[in-house]
Amino acid sequence: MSLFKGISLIKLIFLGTFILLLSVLTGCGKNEPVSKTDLAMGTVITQLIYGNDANEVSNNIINQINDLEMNYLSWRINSSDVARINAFSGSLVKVDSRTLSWIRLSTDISGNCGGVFDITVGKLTDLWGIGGDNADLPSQEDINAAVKTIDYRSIRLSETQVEIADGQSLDLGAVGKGIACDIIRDLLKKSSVEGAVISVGGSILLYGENPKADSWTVGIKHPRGDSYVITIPLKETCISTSGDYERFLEKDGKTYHHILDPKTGYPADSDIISATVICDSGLLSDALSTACFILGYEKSLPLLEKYSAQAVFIDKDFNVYATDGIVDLLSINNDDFKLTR
Amino acid sequence: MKSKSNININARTRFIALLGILGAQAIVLSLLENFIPPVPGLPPGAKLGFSNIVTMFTASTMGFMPALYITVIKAVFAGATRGSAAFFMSFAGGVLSTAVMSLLLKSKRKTFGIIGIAVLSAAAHNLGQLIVAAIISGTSLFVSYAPFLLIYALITGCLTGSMLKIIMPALQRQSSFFKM
Amino acid sequence: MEKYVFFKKADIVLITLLILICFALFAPRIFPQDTALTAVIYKNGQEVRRIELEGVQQSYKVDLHTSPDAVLLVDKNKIRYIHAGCNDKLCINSGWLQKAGDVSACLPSKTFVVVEGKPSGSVPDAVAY
Repeated sequence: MSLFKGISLIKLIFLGTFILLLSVLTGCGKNEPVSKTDLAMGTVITQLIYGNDANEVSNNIINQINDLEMNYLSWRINSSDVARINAFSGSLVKVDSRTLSWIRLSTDISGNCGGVFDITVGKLTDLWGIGGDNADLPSQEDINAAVKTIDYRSIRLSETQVEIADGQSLDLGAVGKGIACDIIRDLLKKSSVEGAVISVGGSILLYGENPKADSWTVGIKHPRGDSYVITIPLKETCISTSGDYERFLEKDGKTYHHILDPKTGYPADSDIISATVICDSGLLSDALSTACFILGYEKSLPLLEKYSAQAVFIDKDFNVYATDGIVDLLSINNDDFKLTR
Repeated sequence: MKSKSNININARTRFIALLGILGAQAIVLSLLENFIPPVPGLPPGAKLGFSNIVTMFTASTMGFMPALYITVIKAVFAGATRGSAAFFMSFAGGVLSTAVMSLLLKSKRKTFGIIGIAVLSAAAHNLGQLIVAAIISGTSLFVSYAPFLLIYALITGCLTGSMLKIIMPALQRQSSFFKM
Repeated sequence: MEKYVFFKKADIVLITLLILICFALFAPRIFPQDTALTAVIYKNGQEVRRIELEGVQQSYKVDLHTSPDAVLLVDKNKIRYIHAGCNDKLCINSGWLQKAGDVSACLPSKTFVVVEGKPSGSVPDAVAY
């Protein structure tokens, strides 16, 4: 015991703490994920990231989303690509190659779904303004006028330029969150992140491996409640849900939700109240979930097959439908909901 | 005094070397028990605590402070390999169990035998870990594991106590090699 | 070290005491609710349905549409066979299944139910909305 006097307890603890700090700083605590919630692009971004540079990456993600909003998609910020295309409708506008590719893919989808998804709905969404402060039920006349402007086929694309028809207006709102997911995935690929779950306002990107389980688990929101009703184990992919509960307008005892049918100019009236699409691309899953919501289960199947996407539908009576590739993975944890095969 | 100082330094060097060996053995033992499949129903991270064999040997032959030294080495190793939570869990559990076993070993009345002391120190180890887990997680959810851990401490305590009995001669030979 | 005794009478007293304490602590919770339970229903060897028992608000019946018929009763954190068209009624006599690992089978209708402790993976990492 007397021999031990030279090495005091204080020194030992000091040494221990020092080595510990060192190990934490060099990233030995990497099994703890970074979990963050931010507001960007007018929505809630939640991030769960596993990896050494998770903190740095999560900050980059928010910066990229803000950049996407500011320079590409916003119709409020005059300098964004979309705002400039709209401001100069009827003439060619030079835009970023990425904007071009998003518009190209969007019109491609429009062509395959008979135009129920269409990014030229800007005038119509503007007219309804659902989710905004001045939302009101528009007159039939105004709706008819707005519907006339909608036609994805009048978009002209060159190598570097975009032109929409005079009086037409682009709205990439239906695919904005999905585009954000795609951008985030590119960002994650350049990092050493092992696995991540990013939710951009309910559109979800699953990336890499889940260190805590064989797969990631994604829930689908209860269309009339707060919790989730279905869970699906999934690997790296994108998930997007379109539901009539997200944003709506109440007028004279009727509710008008925000997913407008470009053909009628009114909120889509299929039996579906929630459509979730799972596929590799965020933009695709976002666009397809909108199209599936409007088309309904049966009519969506060829479209989903065309893009190798999987989907889960919930109708008004809480019947659940799912495509063959995913139906066996579903766990329904609410007994009001019945899986229909 | 002058002539003795030389021997003193040597003795101290031997002392430190022995502690190093014991520390390494503790780490190897805690590494080895990672290969044992986890017991279902127990919180992840519940260990058999084989390295307690070394701590207990140290506490009984060398005293509290050297045993504490082994505990700190173990905690730092846990921290370096499994993160800061592991450090605090290992440290709190280790300090508490070392304190309990040292007190019992030193007590004049020698109420308990090796087995009893091993069981009680294992229970103290689990208690320390439980407290840290509760603080880190901010919930008292883990407290519901207490009965499981008590049973667990009973089993592991008996196990490590018996193992200490078996390998005691070997550890003593090792110590005598260092003239301690 | 020789002065330490390996096993003493006090040790036996201590161990007995600890075992008694453990029993006392376990008694009020023979059915621990530490994990969320999922009932997995199999028909003809195939999984046909999963029910997360924690989320059940009100008890209800599940008809498995078999011949002879088999009906399950689902309640919060438990599940059981309530009606079976077979003769032996073994499945019904096995009572409530309410902890992870509990199994009840109805051989004539080729159905069985397994209660699984919910693996950590089934709480969603994210919810799509």
